[in-house]
This record gives sequence, structure tokens and C-alpha cells, in this order.
Amino acid sequence: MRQFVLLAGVHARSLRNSYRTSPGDRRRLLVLALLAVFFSIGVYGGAHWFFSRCLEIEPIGEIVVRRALAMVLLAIFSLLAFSSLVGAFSNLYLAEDLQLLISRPVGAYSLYAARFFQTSVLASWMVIPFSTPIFVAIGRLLGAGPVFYASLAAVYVAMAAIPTAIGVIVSLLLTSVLSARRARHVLVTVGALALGVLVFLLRRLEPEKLMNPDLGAPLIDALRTMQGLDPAWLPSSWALDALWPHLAWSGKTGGHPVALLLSTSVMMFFLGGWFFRALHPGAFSRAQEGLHRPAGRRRLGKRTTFGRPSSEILEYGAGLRKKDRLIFVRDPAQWSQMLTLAAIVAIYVLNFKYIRVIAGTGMISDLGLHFLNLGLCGFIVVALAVRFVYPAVSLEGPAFWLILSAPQSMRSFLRAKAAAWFLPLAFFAALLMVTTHVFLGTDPWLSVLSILTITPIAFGVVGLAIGLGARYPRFDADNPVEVATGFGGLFFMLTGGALLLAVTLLSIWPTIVVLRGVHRPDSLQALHGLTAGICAALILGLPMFIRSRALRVGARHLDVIPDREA
Amino acid sequence: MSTILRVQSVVKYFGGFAAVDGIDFDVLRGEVFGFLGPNGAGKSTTMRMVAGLLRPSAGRIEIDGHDLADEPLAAKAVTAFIPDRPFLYDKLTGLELLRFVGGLYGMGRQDVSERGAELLDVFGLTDWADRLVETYSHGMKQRLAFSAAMLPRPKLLIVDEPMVGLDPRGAKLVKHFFRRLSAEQQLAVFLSTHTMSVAQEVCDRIAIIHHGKIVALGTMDELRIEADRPGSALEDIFLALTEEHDG
Repeated sequence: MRQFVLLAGVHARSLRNSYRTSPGDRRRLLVLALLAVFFSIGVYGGAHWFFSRCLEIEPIGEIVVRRALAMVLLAIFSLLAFSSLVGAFSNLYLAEDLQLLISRPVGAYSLYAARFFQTSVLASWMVIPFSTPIFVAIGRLLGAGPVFYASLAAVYVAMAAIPTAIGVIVSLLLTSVLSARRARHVLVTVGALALGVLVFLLRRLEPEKLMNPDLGAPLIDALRTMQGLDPAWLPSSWALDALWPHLAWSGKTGGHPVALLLSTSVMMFFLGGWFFRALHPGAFSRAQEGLHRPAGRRRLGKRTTFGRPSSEILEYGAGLRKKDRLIFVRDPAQWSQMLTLAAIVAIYVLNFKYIRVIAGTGMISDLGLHFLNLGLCGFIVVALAVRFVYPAVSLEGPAFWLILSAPQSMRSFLRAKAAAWFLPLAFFAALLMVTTHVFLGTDPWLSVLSILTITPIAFGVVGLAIGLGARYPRFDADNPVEVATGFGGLFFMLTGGALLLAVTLLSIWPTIVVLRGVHRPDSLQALHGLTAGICAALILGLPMFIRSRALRVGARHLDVIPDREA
Repeated sequence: MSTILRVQSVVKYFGGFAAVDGIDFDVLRGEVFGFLGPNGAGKSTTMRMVAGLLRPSAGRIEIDGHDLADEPLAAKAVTAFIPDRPFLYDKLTGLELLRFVGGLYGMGRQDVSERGAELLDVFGLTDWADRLVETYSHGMKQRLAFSAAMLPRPKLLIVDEPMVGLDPRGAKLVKHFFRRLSAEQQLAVFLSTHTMSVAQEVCDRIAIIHHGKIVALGTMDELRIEADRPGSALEDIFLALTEEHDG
């Protein structure tokens, strides 16, 4: 027990020391806490609105809410299962301190319990600010009492513990066959694919029909679909059974779902411990083989092509691009993210079926749809940038000294990085805009204007991502996901979102003027052209200014890194 | 002197490649035992097996009478390992790190405080005890790693490249420390190094490993005879023995 407290407490102590000694970290914590509060309020407001609308659907309002709650719980469980799997690999095999601990007389169960606790906390803490407001909104709408909230606490514990145990067991079984790094890569790939499939399946359920069942199947079909979708073997279904009786008068369930959840958690914890004791020593040894294998001979041929000083490599920007491309292709932790990208695009394009339905109702005009599309595509660009572009500087990792010692300024380095990412992202954004415009069958001039607007957005967003990625680098991060989820990643999402919003708003007037100029040239006045021109200049100028500022801030920060480390 | 570490017919395969290919040697109590070899010879792999981080593919490792495979905790309780790039928690202070390591060995608070203060003094870190490890220089981190390793009074110290990052003063301190503790407290030191002068200066016996096999083992005099290089320095002996086995 003493060892467990020591092992579990060392990270808490490190965190406490970090916030005690660094004013910057304290400020970041404060900003993060404020953001979490604002976010929670936003989620609460949205959830309250959504569920109150659901409850207005007579006579199936409660069933609709139950279905929506089931979807929320399934989404939480799936996300936790995925992040626990990835976390288990890091904490059981790849964490830097394992070498220190395993060479000491640390008992297997103490180590297991501490790592289980750590994985569980790391994988699930973000779920609380995201999901609690949803449960609170439902609870308030349906007049839930304290028992509901006590059950919710038990659900949280079980929903953190069960996926962690599954993650530990699966990682132990996989690493009994493969090295930890290779197994994690396989898992990240499969997991990203599974995540895409899950989101796709959730979309197939067409939650928008919960708001208006008349849009789709008849009521009887809707009821049948809604009531037959809770697999009895899924812990998320047990969680639903644990919460629902405290929300609705018709929510009677057999058995004791809270007891089932908690007893399963305990059983899974001990099962994981048994697997750990039996398999971890051998699996950890294999993981070390992956990390410290002596230089092989078979890959030397490939390495020398990269190490050879050719004229191509010597050219700075081209050299960086080539290096990044090679590493991207060879590192499954990076390219497997492309599956997530594919899932996002597929979901976005599929959603146009619904957006077309909205357009058909006359709720929104073609022009309004254009700006909605622009905003959504822009959001995808920002989301992609945080995943791929923002970590680009941090991914230099311990090899950053090569960049530092090169006879190039940090500004050149960041510009080269931004230039490398701009074209693919702008091309992708333009493609997405044109595809969706074709889907919508809107005015071709709007397609042209959308490309002219999304391109500067991509330009600014890429510069912002590179600049902030350099301002808040995490050279010690194990993978791009870890980099993107830090304070800087969050800050980038907010500033990127603000840039997107500003450019979208600025584009409204020039778009109207151009369309008038094409279709009704007589209605245009000189002042219209002038004001539209100013807006257009701002559409181009604002992203350029943001990019330039961000790259300067990032470069200035990187310039002083050697001073700080000296 | 009795044996503290016994390595018997140990083999380690990485896939089909034998990184360590059936080695045998003993390390005695109170002895500084050097382990030399070219890059990729199997030194670090052997040390990591002795430290319990890697499992041998075959063979047996016994520490203080405990089989490492059967009684890992008992074996590790008398062992301390310092890898070539030791991990230290950056956000702990030097003293907090020592308390943490002491806790892993079940040492009492009072004992950790006294022993910790003594070691921090020996390694010139007393003034830095309450500062975060991240503020330490590379050499200071190395000295802190030594302090943490020596805290639980191990009987066997395994050190992979002990002089990496140490300035001449730090290096002298560590060499002196090895000699003093092996003489006074019967500490056995099992160290690997590429610095021949260090090995020659501090080691009682030296083993040279090449392509996973031990090609020579003995005192300096015995190695000179083995290499047929009377009066030569260790560097010449090392080159002669490894080149001979290359070809």
C-alpha cells in the first residue's frame, strides 16, 4: 500500500511543484479553468435547449431523451475505451520512469495499481467538464434528486475503471506477441478506424430525427428503433439503467445496475492485476527490446539515402519538407491520424443530406447556406490544423538541436514549416468547399468566392498553428495527439476559431456585392464597390497579419530556448 | 571475497540476432568490475539483464544468492542501477526524489533524511537539495542519480557509462567514491565504459565483450598476458583483443 501511495503520488507532487514554481503554469491553469467553466456553461445551455425540445415531442419525449442519453453514454464509453487503450500502452511500457521503477524492488501489484489509477485519471478527467453539464441539464429538466447524482458519481467511477482494465488487458495480450511500440501503432490505427466507424454509426442513427420524427420514418418505426438499441452487455447500457430510474416515472429496471457496474469494475481491476502479474515482466522486457535494439543492418541502405548530403537535402526548406514527409510516412502514430481525417470528411459530406433538408424547408437561403458551409469547412480546417500542423514544431523532439545549430533563423524555420503545410491544407479546404457546393447545387459564383475566402483562412490558420506550436512547444511529447491537447492547442483552437469567424463575417458584404454585380449589375453603386473592396482587402490582410505575428512570436520563443537551457 | 553477481551461460536474442551469446562471469563483493566492448557488443544489453529490465533468452543470473528470474524483488533489493541516460523526475526537488527512491526500498523517513543529506553532501548537491531537478545541469543530474542509487545502501551497483556528462572534478569524485566504498563497505561495482583510462584506473578486473561473447577476462596483468602485450595500456590491449576476434 505504501508503495502504491508513493507511485501514485509522485506525479501529483510533480504537478503541484510545477504550479508552485512556475507563474506561467499557474496562469495557464487559471485560463484553462476559466475556459472549462465557459465551456461547461455552453454545453449546459445547449443540452438544456436540446433536451427541453426533445421533451416537447408528444407523446414520445421521454423515450427520445432516453435514446439521446444512451448515445451520450455510448460515446463516452467508446472514447474512454480508446484513450485507455492508448494510455495503457504508454503507462505500462513506454513511460520514461519505468526503467527507474522496474530496476527497483517494486511489487507487481503496487506498480499495477498505481499505473491503473494513473491511466484511469488521465483517460477520463476531460470527460467530466464535457459531460457533467449534459447530465445536470437532463437532471434539472426531469427533476432528478440526489440519488441521481450519487448514481452519476458511481457511473463515472465505473466508466473510468472498466475501460482502463480492458485497455490494460488488451495491451498485455498484444505485447505478449508484439513489441509495445508496434502493438500501440497497430492499436492506434485500429482504434482510429473504430472511432470513425463509431461516429459513422452514430450519424446513421440520425439524431436530428429525434427533434422531428416526422422527417423520417413513421412514429411506430421510430419507437421501435429507439427502444431496441441498448446492447445488454455494454457497460454504457448498465450506466443508462443506473441513471434512468431516477429521472423518469417509467424508468423501472430489473436488478441493481449500480451494483453491477461497481462489482464489474472491481472484478475487472483484479482480473487486470492477474494479467499484469503474469504477463507484464515478459512483455516489458520485449518492449525494451523494441526501444534498445542494437542498430540493425537491414535498414542501413534506406538510412544512407537520407543521410547522404545531396543538393536536394542541403536546400533548407526542401530538406525540411522531405524529412517531415519521410517521418510522417514511417511513423504510424502520424499517418494513422489520416483515418480520423477520412472519418471527419465522410461525416461532413454525409451531413449534407441533412443540410439539404434544412435548405428545402426554406429555413435558410442559398447565401446563408454558403456561409454556414464556409464556417463548417473552416472549422474542419482549424481542427485539422491542430491535429497535424500545430504539433509540427514539437515533433522535431530531441532532434531539435539540429535545427537550432543550423545556420538559419528560427523565422526561416517556421516559414518553411508553414509553407510546407499551406498547400495541402488549402487544397483540401478548397476541395471540400467545391464538393459540398456541387452537392448543394448552388450558384457557381459562390463556389469561386468560397475558394477565394477559404484560401486566406487556410493561410492564416496554418501560420497561426505553426507560430503557436513554436510558442508552446512540447519536445518531450510522445505523439502529436499529446502535443495538440495541451494549453497551446486549446489556445490555437480559440484564436483559429476567432480568425475564422472574423473572415467569414468580413466575406458577407463582398459576396453580396459580387453576386449583385453578376446578376443585377444595375443595382450596384460606387460606394458598394469601395466598401466591398475594403472588406476584401481585410480578408486578405487579416490572415497575413495574424500569420506574421504568430510566426514572429513563435520564432522569438524558440530563439531563447538555448539561453534558458544553458 | 564471495560472489555477489553470478552470470551463467546467459544468452539474449533480438529476433534471430544474438546480442549476448552465452556469457559467464562472476563479480565479487568489494570488487570494481569493468565491462568493456565496442559499440553494439552487448554491454548495455547485459547490464539491463542484470538490472532486471530485460529477460535473458537463456541462462541464469544470480544476485546475492537470489535467482533474478525467481526472486526478482529480493535480488533488486540489494541492487542499484544507473543507466547511461538516467531518468529523474524533473518536477521533483533533489530531496523529494531521494525520499521517493527511499520509499521504494521501504526506508524510514529519518533514515532517508540522514542518508540523503550525507549523500547530497558527498556529491556536492546540498545547496541544490530543494531545487527542482529540471534546474540542474547535466553533470548535477548525473551526481543526483548516483546519490539516489547509493541511498538504499546497495551491495551491487550497476553503472552504464558512469562518466557521461561529468566534468573532471565530478569524474574524479565518482572514481574515488567507487574505490572507497568497495574497500570500506564491500560494495561491488559492475560498470561499463568506453573510457579506457577510467577502467584501467578503477577496475580490479575487466571483461571485454565482443559480438556478444566475452573475449577476455581478468586483471590488467592477466589481460596483458592474454593479449601478448606486456606493459601496454588498456587501450592497446582492448584494440588488440577486439581486432583479433574480428579477423
